[in-house]
Amino acid sequence: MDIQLFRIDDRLIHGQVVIGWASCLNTKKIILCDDSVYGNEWEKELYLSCVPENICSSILNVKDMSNYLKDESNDFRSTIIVVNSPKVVEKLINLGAQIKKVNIGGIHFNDGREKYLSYLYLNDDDIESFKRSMKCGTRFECQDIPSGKKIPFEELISKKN
Amino acid sequence: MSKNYFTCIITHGNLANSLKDISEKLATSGTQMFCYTNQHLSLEEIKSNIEERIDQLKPDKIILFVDLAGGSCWHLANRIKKDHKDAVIISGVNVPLIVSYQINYNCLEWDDLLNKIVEDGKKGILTL
Repeated sequence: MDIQLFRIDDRLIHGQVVIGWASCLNTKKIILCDDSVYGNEWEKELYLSCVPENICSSILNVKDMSNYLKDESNDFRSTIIVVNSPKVVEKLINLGAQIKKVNIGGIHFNDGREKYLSYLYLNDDDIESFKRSMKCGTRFECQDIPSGKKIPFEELISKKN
Repeated sequence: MSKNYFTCIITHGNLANSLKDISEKLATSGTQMFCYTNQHLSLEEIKSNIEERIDQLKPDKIILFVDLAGGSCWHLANRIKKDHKDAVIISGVNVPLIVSYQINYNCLEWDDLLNKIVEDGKKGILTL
């Protein structure tokens, strides 16, 4: 299944996604997949209010997203899917979704996280989760903005260790 | 009596600090402005830092300037406003707006101040 952009970004839908990626890729739809946002009307409204009117947007929980991804009649070639962590990707894979390629767009500093790139801070749990998804065949590429350099995640962690 | 407003500029990159520096060069500083960038730190981290300051200063009013409506700084400001209902968020912050804030901070009442700075920010955008 071809997805226009499957992105990990702990800021979910924000300027970099809407102005940066969506306008560059001529995106028609943005799906935010997050159980916590899905369960909170205030959060839902906040995120959906940032999407321009010419782009369709929706918020799904992980279970619904996995079913949506598994349904081969769906076309994601003009769709950006945003999640906030590698653990959501892993959950989707465990629920049977096939995700070929994931863009790592931003995981920011927090206690216990180590710097890998200016927009990427990771802890051991994150790295283990990435590795488990990689074993299932998912490729991860770091790139914050469309004009930014693409860095394969495998290369990034092997250089660091 | 001096006013006790909490003023904060939250932007992408170094814009917040630059806006503060420029406005202080152009006008006498009316009040202290706290500047934050969304680079590096998580939004949670910035939010807890701002809320700590608000708890310490116990301001009468809170004003949060952000650069881009819908951007991550705007999201963060909305999360602060959720717990501080009276906080005002002004997006699209620019030099004329911040300079106007510095100049008018001590001489206008809250509502007039808000109207004036937004008007001055808009007036500063011209096509010739």
